[in-house]
Amino acid sequence: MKTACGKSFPREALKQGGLIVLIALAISLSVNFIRSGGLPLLPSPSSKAAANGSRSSDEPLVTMEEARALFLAHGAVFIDARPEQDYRSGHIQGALNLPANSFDRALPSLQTRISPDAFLIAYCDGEHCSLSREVAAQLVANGFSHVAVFLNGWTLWRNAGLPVAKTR
Amino acid sequence: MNSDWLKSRPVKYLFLSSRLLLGAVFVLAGADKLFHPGEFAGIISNYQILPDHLVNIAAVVLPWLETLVGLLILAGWWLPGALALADSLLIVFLVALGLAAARGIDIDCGCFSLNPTGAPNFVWYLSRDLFFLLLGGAVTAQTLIRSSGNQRVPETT
Repeated sequence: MKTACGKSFPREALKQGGLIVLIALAISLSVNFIRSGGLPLLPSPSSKAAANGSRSSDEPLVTMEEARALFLAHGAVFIDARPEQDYRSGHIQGALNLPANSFDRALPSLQTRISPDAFLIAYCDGEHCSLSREVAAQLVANGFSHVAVFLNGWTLWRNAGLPVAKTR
Repeated sequence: MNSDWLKSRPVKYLFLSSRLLLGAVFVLAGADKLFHPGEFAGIISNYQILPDHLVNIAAVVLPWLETLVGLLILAGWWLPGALALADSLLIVFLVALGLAAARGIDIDCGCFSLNPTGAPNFVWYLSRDLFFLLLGGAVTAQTLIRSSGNQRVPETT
């Protein structure tokens, strides 16, 4: 298996690299299939919880329909946990930005605007995005008692054609 | 090109230690993730680069690829392929980290440990990855020169 002499390096690299990738694919997929708690490789609703693994929090989840109903009834404040740049380029209408990476800096402003009893729904983007869970857990730790997580909120909201806004 | 200097003992030791260091880096990077693909999927997702349907596949395959590449580099087997993959992976990681830093996504690197204790530090992550990339480039160049040096032997005898 040693480096072959007399053959061009790029050709060897390509051939061996391809074989290494194939071997890694075969081993990893087999192990994932055999092991208990292997990750689902095709997207499914149940993959959300599995992929978030130990990062899951105790905050309840809201479904798309529940989020829509609460939005229309003005029954909740939406909290966008994504970075400010993403929030500016588009967010759920009326949502406030509380990025997970600058939570401590942004929290005081939020506390002056929202009652601790308000129902807050944290969201980010992507089935596996854990930013909403992190922000939800921190909100609860800072005295907000009614906090829920809207998994994959931004994508679901956009796909449903519900009101969005941009910030310049 | 005269490659006699490559046969000197100090250069041989330098090459060996660089190769072993690079191999160990990849084995260490892959080891923790092998056993915790779910947590690694969360970290990949936080980078917000891959579409959702590719996150789990990347979380399952990438640790094995890193570990396999590292073991091959340590053992000195299939070096052209293993080094090409190592350099490619380091470039991909560098781009991913750079994009995350540019977009202000302050996330855990997930490079070696899935449970970091300190705050994310992108300057450190990027510098470290750049160092590994330079190391990978140096080991690749050494292997390439040695390989071409070996090829010339029949022509000169």
